[in-house]
Amino acid sequence: MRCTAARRRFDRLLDGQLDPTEAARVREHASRCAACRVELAQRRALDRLLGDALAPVPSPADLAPAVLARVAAVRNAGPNPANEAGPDLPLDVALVRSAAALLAWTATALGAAWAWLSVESGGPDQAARRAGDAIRAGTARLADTAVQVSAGDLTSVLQEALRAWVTGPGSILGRALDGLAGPLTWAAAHPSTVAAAGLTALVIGMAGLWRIHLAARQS
Amino acid sequence: MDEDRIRRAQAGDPESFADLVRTYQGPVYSLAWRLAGNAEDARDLAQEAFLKIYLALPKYRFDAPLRTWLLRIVTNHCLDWLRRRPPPSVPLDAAGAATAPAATDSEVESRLAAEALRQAVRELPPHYQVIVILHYTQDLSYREIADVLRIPVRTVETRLARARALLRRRLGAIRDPCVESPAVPPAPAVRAEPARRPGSAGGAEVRAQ
Repeated sequence: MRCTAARRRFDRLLDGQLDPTEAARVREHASRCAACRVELAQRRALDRLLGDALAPVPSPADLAPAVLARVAAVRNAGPNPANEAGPDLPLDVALVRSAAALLAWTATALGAAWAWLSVESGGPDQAARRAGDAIRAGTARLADTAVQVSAGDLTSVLQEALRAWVTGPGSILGRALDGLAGPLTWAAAHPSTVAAAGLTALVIGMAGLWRIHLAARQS
Repeated sequence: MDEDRIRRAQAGDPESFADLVRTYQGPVYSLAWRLAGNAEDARDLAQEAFLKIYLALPKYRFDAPLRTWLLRIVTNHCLDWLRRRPPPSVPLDAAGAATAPAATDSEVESRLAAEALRQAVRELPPHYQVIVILHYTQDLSYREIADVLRIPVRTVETRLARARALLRRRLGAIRDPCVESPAVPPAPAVRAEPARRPGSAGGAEVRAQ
């Protein structure tokens, strides 16, 4: 056995995690190699020091009475909520999961509808481009209106920023819509997968809402 | 604690729960003490942890030993507390200092070394710290620690090895009298490893990895 292999096993040797054969091989190496013997002795010393330094601490005599007094106060205050049938999850976790599932379902349903409509109207590329144009035009009109009624410099700066973000060449929104074309094409080609995913998300979302409803009724 | 007693505690029998508290107050308080680093916080943490145990007890399904399940709750509670609390000061080890009678120089020295070691452990990242403390204070095997923390045994082994390496690096100045001799120590007599600490509950776990 080489030194590196032996040293890799030192901790497990000290913790009794090696099988007897391997432990014997490591010890045999340490008996022949002076450097590894020192290393093993140092690790054994640290192990012993840690055992002493982190030894169990006796609990104070009044700990159990204090705990039991607190438990009695909780018991007297009302039924143990953990005894009641109800959701295992904390309410906030259930809420977040349900919201995420419903959001996923909504997004999937919208995606499926979009894919279907885009197939009807000349393909997703066309549909995405038309929607992008419509949004850009609408936002530009809004921005122009705001320019007319605004007076302050700050408002103008914000309008310019908004206009650049929404309607400028290579704007974020435009690129995002272009980026959607690929997934939408895929969704249009696999309507049954999209429908199954949407249905699953809907079931999860409804189950989450039911758990929240149960929890709310109990509280 | 036998299963019948646990079931009675689950059903709300106060005396059975009191029995549970008396049985496990030592491990729970020790774990809280070593993670918190002082008696006052340890007391609060132990009380809060037992309250959580009381509330969660009806959900205990006997799929793990009760001790493992209890230590999981206490560990998680203490780790939450460690993450929330402001950066710790450097407390003296009250457990050692309070009971200290007149000490010789070497005793003082070894107490200081022990305190330096405890401080070094407290400065480890929490996910290393908790494994070191579960191993040395609760005397848990890799498998038991893995069950408490719900992580793979391999991860326990890796983290414990890294924690020890960090401690060796940080505590280069601390030398145990047994290894201070400049000469190479003699070849150790072949003996059954490991030398378990007194009061060991579980004993050595010998198994192939």
